[in-house]
Amino acid sequence: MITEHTEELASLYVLGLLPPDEARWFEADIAADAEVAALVARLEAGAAAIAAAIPPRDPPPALRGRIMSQIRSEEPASASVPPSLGSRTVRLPWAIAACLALLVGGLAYERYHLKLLVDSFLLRDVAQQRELDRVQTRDTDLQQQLDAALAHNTALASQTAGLQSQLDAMRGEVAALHARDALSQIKIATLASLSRDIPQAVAVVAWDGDTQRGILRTSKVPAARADQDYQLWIIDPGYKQPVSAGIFDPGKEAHFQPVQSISKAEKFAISLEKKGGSAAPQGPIVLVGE
Amino acid sequence: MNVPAPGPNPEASLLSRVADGDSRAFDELYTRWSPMLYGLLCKILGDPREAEDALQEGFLHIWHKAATYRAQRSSPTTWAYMIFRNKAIDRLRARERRGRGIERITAEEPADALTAVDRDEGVEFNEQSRTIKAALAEISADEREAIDLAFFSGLTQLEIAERLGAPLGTVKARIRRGLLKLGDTLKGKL
Repeated sequence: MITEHTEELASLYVLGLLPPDEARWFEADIAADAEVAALVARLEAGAAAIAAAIPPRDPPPALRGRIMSQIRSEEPASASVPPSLGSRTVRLPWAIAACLALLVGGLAYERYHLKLLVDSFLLRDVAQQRELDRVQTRDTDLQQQLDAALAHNTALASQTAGLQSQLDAMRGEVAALHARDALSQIKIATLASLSRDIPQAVAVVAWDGDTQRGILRTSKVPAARADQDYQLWIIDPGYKQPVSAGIFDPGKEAHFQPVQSISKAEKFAISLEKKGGSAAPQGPIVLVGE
Repeated sequence: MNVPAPGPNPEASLLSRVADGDSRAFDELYTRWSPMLYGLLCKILGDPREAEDALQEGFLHIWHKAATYRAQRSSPTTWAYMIFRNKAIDRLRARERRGRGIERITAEEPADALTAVDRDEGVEFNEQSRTIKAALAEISADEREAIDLAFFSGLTQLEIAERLGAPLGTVKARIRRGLLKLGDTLKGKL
C-alpha cells in the first residue's frame, strides 16, 4: 500500500533530493515492490514534463561529429566489416578480426548481463539487509524487555528473600516469646529439709500448671527403708488436704501428675509414708518449699 | 485532458537498436533529442560550453546503457530527460563544491522554467507542448515554485526550504502534490 510518506520519498528520490543512504534504501523498495516502481514511473513522467517545458536549443553542429566519432570508435567491429577484397589471403585477417570482434562483443554482452545480475543481487541484498536490520532492532527491543523483566525478577527475588528473612526473624521472636511465656507458666519450688537426720537434703520441683505435670529432683535424700516410700504432696488452698503427686525413688528424676486438678500450687512437701503411699499425709514431713 | 494513446514508440525501437550497437540508430536519436536536451542542459547549467560537455557525456551514457531502458516503466523521452537532468545536477553540485556556488548560477539565470512555456520564444508548440502547458496550469503557484527549484537548482531539501522561507515539511508536501498531479496528467503522453 502506498502511503503519503512513500509518495514523499518517491518524489524526493525522482528529483535526486534524497541523501545517498536513503536513496539506496528506496531503490531496494522499488526493486521489491511493483507498486512503488509504478509510483516512481508516474512521478518521473511529471518531472520529465518540467524538462519538456524548456524551449529546445540546437547544440553546436560540431558536437554531433565529436560524439559520433567517439561512439564509432567503440562500435562493435562486426558493424563496420569492410566489403570483400576477393582474396583468401586478404580475407583471412578480416575473418579473424571479425571472429575476435564477435568474441569481444559476446564477452561485452555477457559482462553487461552479469552486471545486471550483480545489480539485482545487490538490490536484493540491500532489501535483505534492511529486513535484517528490522529483525535485529526488534531482537534488541525484545532483549531489552527481557533484561528489564529479569532485572525486575531479580529485584522481586531479593525482596522475597528479605521478606522471608524478616518472617524467619519474626517466627524466631514469636518462638522466643512462646518459650518465655511457657517458662512463665512453670513454677519452680525449692524444698528444704525439715529433718535433723538429713539436714543437707534438698529437692527442686518444676510445676507446669497448664499441663498439670511436674518434675522432681532430689539431692542428698537417702533411700527410704524397705517398708517406706517417699511421697510428694501439693498444697492447693482449693483443697482441705494436700493433693498426692505420687511416691518416688529419691535416686532418680521423677515425673509426676497429681491425682486431682491443681488450680494453685502454693507449696510442695515430701513425707515418708508407708510402702505404697497414703491417700493423705500420715508420716513425717521431711522436705517442704514454696 | 484526453490525449490519444501513442502507437508503437519509434524512439523505443531506436533505443533497442542502439542497445545492439547500431550507430545509425544512435545518430537518429541524436537528431531527435539533442535540441530538447541541450536546451534543458543550458537552462540548468547556465553555461553553453558546460552544456555541450554534459550533452556529450549524456549521449555516451545512452550509447552504453541503452539496454537498461525499460519500456514498461517510462517513455524513452522521460528516460532521457531524467538521465540528462541528473547529469546536469551532478555537474552543478560539483561546481558548487569547487566553490563557484549555486547561488551565482541561479542568480544569473533564474530557475523559472515552469513558466517558460508561457513565453513566446518562437518555439513551435506542438500538441505535446500544449499538453504540458495545460498540465502545468493545474498545479498551484507554490507547488510550481518548489518543484522548479528542486528540479533545476541542485539545492538540497533544506536549502530549498530556506530559499522559499517555508518549513521543510511544507516544501516536501508541495513537491509531492505537484509531481503527482503532473505525473497523473502526463504519464504516457511524453
